[in-house]
Amino acid sequence: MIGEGISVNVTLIFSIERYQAVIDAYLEGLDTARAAGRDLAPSIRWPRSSSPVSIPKSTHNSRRSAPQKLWLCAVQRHWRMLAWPITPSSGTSPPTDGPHSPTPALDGNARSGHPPA
Amino acid sequence: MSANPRLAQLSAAGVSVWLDDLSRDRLQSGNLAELVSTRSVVGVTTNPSIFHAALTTGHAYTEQLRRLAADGADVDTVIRTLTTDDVRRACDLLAPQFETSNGVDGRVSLEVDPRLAHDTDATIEQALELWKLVDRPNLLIKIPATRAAFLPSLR
Repeated sequence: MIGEGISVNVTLIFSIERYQAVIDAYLEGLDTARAAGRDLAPSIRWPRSSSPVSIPKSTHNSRRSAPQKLWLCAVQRHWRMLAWPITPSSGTSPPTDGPHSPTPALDGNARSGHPPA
Repeated sequence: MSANPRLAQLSAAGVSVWLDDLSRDRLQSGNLAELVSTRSVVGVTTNPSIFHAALTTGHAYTEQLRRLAADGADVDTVIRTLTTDDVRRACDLLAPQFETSNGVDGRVSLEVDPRLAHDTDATIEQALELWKLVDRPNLLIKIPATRAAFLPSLR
């Protein structure tokens, strides 16, 4: 469906594994759409907030709660999203500054451009 | 309806406020428009229970229902037409939010029949049908994260 250009709201996700699978399927759909020459501008949106995403230090240990793991998973996949190749002519490049700039930060060390470990 | 400062603060902090309900009454009375302007609502989500409540309460659908019945439409077609008409109107109402937020907000979610949750092909077929029927860029097609429904079809 993503490959066809349809916006999807995936509901009833009850595990981290399934959440990861959803994100992977979404990214694969974007690859399909891109390969088919679709305009990805309506499919890719960037966070409107310029506030950095931060994860409390307490989540950086083996005793993370399920929501904390989900959050970390989302941020990690978001980094993969940012690294995803974008066709310059499609006009979907994320802005480098301004209110729509995606600036995830993990404990203040992610601004270096490296995904979280 | 006066403005709700707490919801406005939440919205300013980056939270997207969604309404988990929709009905023709909310559309016709201007209630949804009011929730958008005073309650910071920037999204609407629906499901079969919500439409069941909407269709079985009041008389907002009576006239269109009679017309469809006179045209010989079956029950599924009638429900599909009534609900997609509502969703299309909600999409139009939230179109400004969709545009100004660059598509982050202003979305309206419409669910594929939950009875298709374990049927990949039928899920894809109905998703395409709903997408074409509503015909709005800010529509979201809701599908469950079941192995059959989403794993192959989301791509």
